[in-house]
Amino acid sequence: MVKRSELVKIFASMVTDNMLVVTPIGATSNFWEQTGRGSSSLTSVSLGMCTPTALGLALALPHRRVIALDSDGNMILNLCSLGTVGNEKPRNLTVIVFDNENYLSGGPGKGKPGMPSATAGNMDLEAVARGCGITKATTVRNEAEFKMAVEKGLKEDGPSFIVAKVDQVDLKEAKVFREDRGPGQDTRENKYSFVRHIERLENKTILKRGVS
Amino acid sequence: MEVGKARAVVEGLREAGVNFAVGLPDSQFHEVYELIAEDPSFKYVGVGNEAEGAAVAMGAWFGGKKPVLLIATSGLLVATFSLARLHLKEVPLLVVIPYRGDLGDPRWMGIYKKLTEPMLNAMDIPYEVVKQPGEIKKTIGGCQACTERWLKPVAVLITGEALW
Amino acid sequence: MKRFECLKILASALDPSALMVANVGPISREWNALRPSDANLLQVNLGLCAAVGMGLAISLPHRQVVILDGDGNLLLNLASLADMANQELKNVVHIVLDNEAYEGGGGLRSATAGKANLALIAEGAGIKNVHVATGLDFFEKAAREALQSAGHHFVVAKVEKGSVPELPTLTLDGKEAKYRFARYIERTEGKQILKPRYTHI
Repeated sequence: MVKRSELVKIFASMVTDNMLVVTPIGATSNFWEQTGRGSSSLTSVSLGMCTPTALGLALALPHRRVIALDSDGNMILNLCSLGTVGNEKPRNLTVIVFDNENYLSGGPGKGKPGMPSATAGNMDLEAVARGCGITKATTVRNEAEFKMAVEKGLKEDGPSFIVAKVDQVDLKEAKVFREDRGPGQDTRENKYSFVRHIERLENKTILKRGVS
Repeated sequence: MEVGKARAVVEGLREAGVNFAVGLPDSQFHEVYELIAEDPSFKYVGVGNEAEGAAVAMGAWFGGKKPVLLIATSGLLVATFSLARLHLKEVPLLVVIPYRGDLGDPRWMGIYKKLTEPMLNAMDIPYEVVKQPGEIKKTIGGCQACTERWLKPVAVLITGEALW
Repeated sequence: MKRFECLKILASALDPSALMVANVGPISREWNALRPSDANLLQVNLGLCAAVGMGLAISLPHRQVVILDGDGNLLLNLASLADMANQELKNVVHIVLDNEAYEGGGGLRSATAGKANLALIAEGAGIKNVHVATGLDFFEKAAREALQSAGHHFVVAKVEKGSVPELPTLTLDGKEAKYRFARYIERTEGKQILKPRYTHI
């Protein structure tokens, strides 16, 4: 039993305020918002865009650690981004993939998993990453391994790639958060708060006033 | 593409302040990619598909860069999901597309031409069509200013004498 | 007297927790230069300033609401004055910076350059504490009094046309301003206002 929500909490305790986190649309963003870091991160990024967006951010700010909290479905959708990561080799990028081996949010709900993703079968994302030249690739299957891999990933030069195998179903936890999103932002508000956060960290202007 | 016209595209981008280019090449435009890749004022990232490209460009914008997405006419179709969803974040992105399939194109690419403008309209992405080489730099500059002010992707479609 | 000087006086006399509503145009830019704050709701669209202020004042009766209005702006929606008076509000300071012109739109004369008298209109609507200031000293006195006492205060400040050169541009667009203002009220009132059920906009 490896719960995605628990891993997110563990990750939250290890990441510092000067690191930037990108999360995809869905439960992971909900869990991340619950840690209170949502407004200083880029959350609810659309399908397939989490890791490539983190890559762009990492290339634009090479001195700043950037972490993508991606998922198997997202990763598979734009798999070629691993090829780009492997060739650009950003030292400041860590990609964590929560792999629940199914398309959970596209499934029946009610505690049942969705249709299996390719990683439920023969696809091994760690092997794909290695095949793209990402040597620091690993698969973890429990909290202790996760913690060790994340510690290494956040300390050393990357790019590093961590596949965290998690329980197939955890929508119940996400549902609780969805109904009481408290600190939750819509994507427009999140854009503003994230870019202003970077402006403060980097002491530069990125978003001049747009039109209302 | 004639090197002089390719240079106009690259200079137009540079003068507009663009410093981060993401792309997947089109055969008629390859000179532009080559010039950008060897130009130190740009960081060029070649990507595996255009949807990934749109996302990389968005990430770079948040990091303070001024990105351009250089994609083929057909590539626009691949980028569509990411570009349409870019609206969720309402960020600026200049998209430059060699507009294939017009009269004068030696290859039959009518399908791409037929889909391009309706697709951009459906995504509510404003665009300008450039047909004369003398208009290239001005249009790129104008569209870049637009995208920064309107906080949405704006496309430049290069065709006719500007492309051939 | 100059509008900017009036706003300076206001900025120095204002409680930091007072909610400020201002209309589009030079007023918002000048105010933002003097007191940038998440407690400001700037760039409120033409004619809506007083109404938005009224809504805020009714829903947050323990908070002071200051409305920075313009003559053209208020003339667009005079009914607001009547509606506000009938609410018998105790927490509103409504200041009209009357330059007798549509300055943001090129400078044509407004009705107050002719026969219209906003102070009389306000009294006719039923507002009791009405003042007209033509000089800075009186404006300061009236403004401070209004800000320091409960009630519904209406102050017309007769000002010259024209703004201040080299004003910093507003950094927030209307969308970002909405989020900042709503979150400010959430923080200071301890309640939830924005409830994004889904992330998509």
